Order: sequence, then C-alpha cells, then structure tokens
Amino acid sequence: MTLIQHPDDATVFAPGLPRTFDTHRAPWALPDGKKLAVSVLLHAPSYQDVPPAGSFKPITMQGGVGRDTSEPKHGQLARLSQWDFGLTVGIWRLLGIAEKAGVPVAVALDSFGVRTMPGLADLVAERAQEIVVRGSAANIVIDEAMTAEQEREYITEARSSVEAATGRTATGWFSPERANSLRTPELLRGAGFDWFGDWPVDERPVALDGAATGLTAVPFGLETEDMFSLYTRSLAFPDYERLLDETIEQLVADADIVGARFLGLSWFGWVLGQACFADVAERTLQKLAAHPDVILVTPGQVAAL
Amino acid sequence: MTIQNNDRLVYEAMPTRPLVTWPEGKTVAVWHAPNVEHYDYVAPGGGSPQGRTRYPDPQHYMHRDNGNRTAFWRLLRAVDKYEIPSTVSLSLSVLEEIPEVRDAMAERDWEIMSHGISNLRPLYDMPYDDEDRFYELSQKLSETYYGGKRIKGMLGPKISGTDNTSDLMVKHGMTYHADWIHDEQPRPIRTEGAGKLVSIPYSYMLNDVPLLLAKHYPGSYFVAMAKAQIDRLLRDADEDGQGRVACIATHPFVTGQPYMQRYIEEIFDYLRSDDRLWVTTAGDISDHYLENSYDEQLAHAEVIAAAREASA
Repeated sequence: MTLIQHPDDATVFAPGLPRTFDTHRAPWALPDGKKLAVSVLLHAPSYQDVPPAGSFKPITMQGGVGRDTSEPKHGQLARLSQWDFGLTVGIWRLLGIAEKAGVPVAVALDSFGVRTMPGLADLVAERAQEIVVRGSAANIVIDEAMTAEQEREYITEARSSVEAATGRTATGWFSPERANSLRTPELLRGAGFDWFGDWPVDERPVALDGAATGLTAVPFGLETEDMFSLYTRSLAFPDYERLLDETIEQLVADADIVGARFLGLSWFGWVLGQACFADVAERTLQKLAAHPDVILVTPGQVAAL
Repeated sequence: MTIQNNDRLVYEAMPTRPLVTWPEGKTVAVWHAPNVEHYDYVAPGGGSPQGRTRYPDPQHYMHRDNGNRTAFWRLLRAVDKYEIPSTVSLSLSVLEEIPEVRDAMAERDWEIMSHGISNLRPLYDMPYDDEDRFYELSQKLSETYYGGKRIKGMLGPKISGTDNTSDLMVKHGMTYHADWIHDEQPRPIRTEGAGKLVSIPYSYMLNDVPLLLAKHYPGSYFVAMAKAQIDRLLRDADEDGQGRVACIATHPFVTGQPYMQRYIEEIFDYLRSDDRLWVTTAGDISDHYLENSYDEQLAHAEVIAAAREASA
C-alpha cells in the first residue's frame, strides 16, 4: 500500500539509478587497501558563438563579464573568448601540472573543438591518459525536447568526431552543463559507453540498472568542481583549496566506516587553468600524489574496478 | 559575408607556438587599464540603467559620477606614486565634456583606448554605416582634444560589438581589441582586409567590477588575485620562455573608493617589485607583438591548420 499518489507527469527517481545508501550496502573496496580513489577530469570544451539552428542551449551558464550568466547579446565576445582561453592556454597549464605531479588525467573534448581548433586533438591525445567525449560544444546541450533519434545522433556524432580526431577509443562521456534527457543514460549505453560523469550522486561509482545496465555513473562532484565553486558559488580561491583539502581528509577518514570512497575532480581549462588559480591545482595534485591512502586512476579505470 | 566570431580566432595551443619575447629580457608585460566612464543620466531610448529602478536611476548615476569627481583623483595619486603607465578605457565623451579629467590624463601621457562614447550606449545591432561613423567620431574626438593622437584600440562600450566591429576598427586605423580575453599573449584576429588586428589580453578576473561589485569580494582579494596571477605568469614564462601579458583593470568609481586605496597601492607596489615585469601600455605591447611576433605566429598557426586539413 502506498499513501502518496504521485502526479502522473512526475518522474520521481532518476531512471536507471539504483537506490542504495551508505551503511545499508556492501562496502566498496580498492586494491591494496587504499581508502580513496581520485580521478581528475580536465574539461577542454569549445564555445560555439552561433549554434546551428535547431540546437538546444543552456538557459544560463558561467563565463563572461562576471555579472550576467544568461545568454550574452550577439556581439559580446566575453564568454566565447573566456571559454576559448581553456583551449589556448588553460588546458595545457593543467596538463603540465598533472604531469609534474605524476597524476594520470582524462581530458574531455567536444566535436566543435576538435573540428575547428587545429592541433588540439593531436596534442591532447599525446598527453592524456584517457579521452572523454563531451558532446557537440560547451553551449549546445542535450534537452528533453530532442527526439530519441536527435539525441542518438548528437551522441554518436560527438563520439565519432572525437575518436577520429584523437585516434583514440573513448569509453566515457560527459554532457555539456551536465544536461540530460530522461533517456540519456540508456542512449549512452546503447552507443557503447561504459561510464559517464554527469551525475554527482555518490561517493563511489554506481552501476546503473534497467535499460542503462552496463553503464556506470562515475560521480564527478559538484562542490569540488572549480567552475561551480569559483564561479557559481563565488568562493575565494584559498577557500576552494581548503574545501578540497578538507574533503580529501574527511573521505579518507570515512573510508574506515563506510568503505572506500571515490572523488572525481572536475576541472576546466578556462577556470583552474587561469594563472591566478592554477597553484590550487598544483598543490592539490602534489598532495594527492604523495598521500599513502590515495590511488590516482582515470575514470575509465574506476568504472572497471 | 562577415566573418563569424569563432572564425576570427587563430587557434594554436600555447606549447607549440613560436616564442613571444618582450624588450630588455622582460618576461611578463603588465598593463593598467583604468576604465574612466561616463553613464548618461537618461540613456538613448530610456530604459533602466541597471535593472534596478526605471530611469533615471540617481543611485547608479551618482555612484559612477562620483568616480570622476573624487575617486579618479584619488586613484591618480596612487598611479603617480608608483608611476604606473596607464591605458585608459575611456568613454570618449569625457574628452569633450570633462576637460579636467582629460587634461590630467594627458599630462601623464595616458594612452587612450576607446570605450565608446558613453557606457550606456552599446554597439549591439548597430547598422554598418552608423558603426563606421562611430569610429570616425572616436578618432576625431581624440585628434581634436588629445594632442592630435589617434586611438589604437578599443574595449567595446559595456563590452559590446557587432559582426563588423573588428573590420571597422581596422578601417579606422586601430590595431588592438581588448574584448577578447582568450589568451595570455596578443593573438592575430582575422579581418576581411589586409589590415592587422590583435587581441590584447584584458581581464574580467583582475577587474574590480566583477570582483568587488558583482561578486562581493573584499579589496584584499583583488590583491591576492593580482599577486597569484603575476607570480604564476612569471614562473611559467621562466620555464617555457613565452612572454606573457597581465592586465589590471580598475574603475575609479570602484577602486577609487577610500577603502580601496591601500589595496591598489599594494598592487602597484607589487608591480614595481620585480624587474622581470614590463609595466607598460596596451599600445606598446601590441606594437611590439605586431613588429616582432605577429607574422611568425600567424604563419605557424596556418602551417598547423593546413597539416590538420590535409590529414582530415
């Protein structure tokens, strides 16, 4: 018997997401008794100033003159060029920092970027341990108003563009603005993806069920994301660094109680790759690399654990 | 057929570019961009200046006008104390209508970068011929009121533009555009003719309006950001040999507030503390780039693009 009559047009729980809760499920375990697995996902999205007719755009997004987050008027270059900074400078600075710390990284690319930025895909392919597909462009998103066929085409076009340009196989996906339709996990699985990073839903990977069986949600946290913390929440960068330190410390401690933890660091070339913020990435990765309880792995490896 | 904004960018990743160097072995060029602005009391077409009240909005207007009455002069004292060359992002109506401010800038040889006529008159959707006349007027204002000098660059009024902006800037003799913030070096911007235009790295990060007005950080955070930015650029330049650019963007009505003086002085003092910094103007940076690096960097990017095209 249920007391609640949900409205017919409500979808009460995310499809494919099993409802499991800490202390009520078997603990997750890591090789060699490690307590915390960390994956670094570097985003290298491109911003298409005039999206093709019929594409769907986010309602708001970050970047630009620092005040407005709604769609800039045509002719304002601030958001376009600020996102582009990630591709000209930011992603390379973050890759250099990760290499110095000996930390493996996944880099997420989109089809507009690899099509229009000469050398981007080749250089990323030389330096990234994993390639992730990130849709069409930073500001062209998946939307519930798409037909299944449109969404399938969006996913396969992005995948084939990124794989062709990098010469690498991609098993993982990240949606621009983390935007999904109700069908997205099922379609990603249908397109052959093993994992996706959109859902900041847990502190361990979650194997989906139902029509998305075979797809793992590798949870890249929201509050530990640079764009969310430094732009959406406007944390000062020293406070963001402290947030990262305290998160790591607490997750390691919690592993003894609820089982091994996962931390997905979602970092943008145009955010943490800026000179004024980059030392936060450098110090954090160096601390992680030296931490005896931490294992650093790519998200594809986490999904396969 | 005008060039789309994405296509105006000449992409090449920083690590593969030919080196950009600055004079006398300096490694990081820094330019101070005070935005000396005028806001109409009632802007053309009416409308709310800030989306706060309907027009007029005295709170908005007086806050900004105080920037020219008192705060500009306080900021000027800090500029003078540390002898900071400045590239003024100027509402050009100031040249004609506020001679006191104009003459103070001229005495210090500040470089004028156009910031439109008024900061409540954006360029969006402006017809080609009107925008053409806007640049003609901009140059005439500078020639008439600023020692015959022509303007080399622009930061669009309220960061606005049209699809014709880059091409028309070149037509009227301008060489740098500050609306593009996509790099730590000047970069070629594609235009329709043979004229050369470069982006000059402006900043919405080291900028008092986004930091203090929009995001509500304290003045001490502006200092922390400026130091972190410059420290990192210096270290990276030492490592890879690439000369870089930082911009400190101020507005008298924000940074010229009494409580901000100690913080802007701390930033200026920092700029004077390291011999690797080339504290200069946007025009000098872009001129140096145009003379020494533009052709080589453009040619290199085109080789990479052609190779990519051939393999695709």
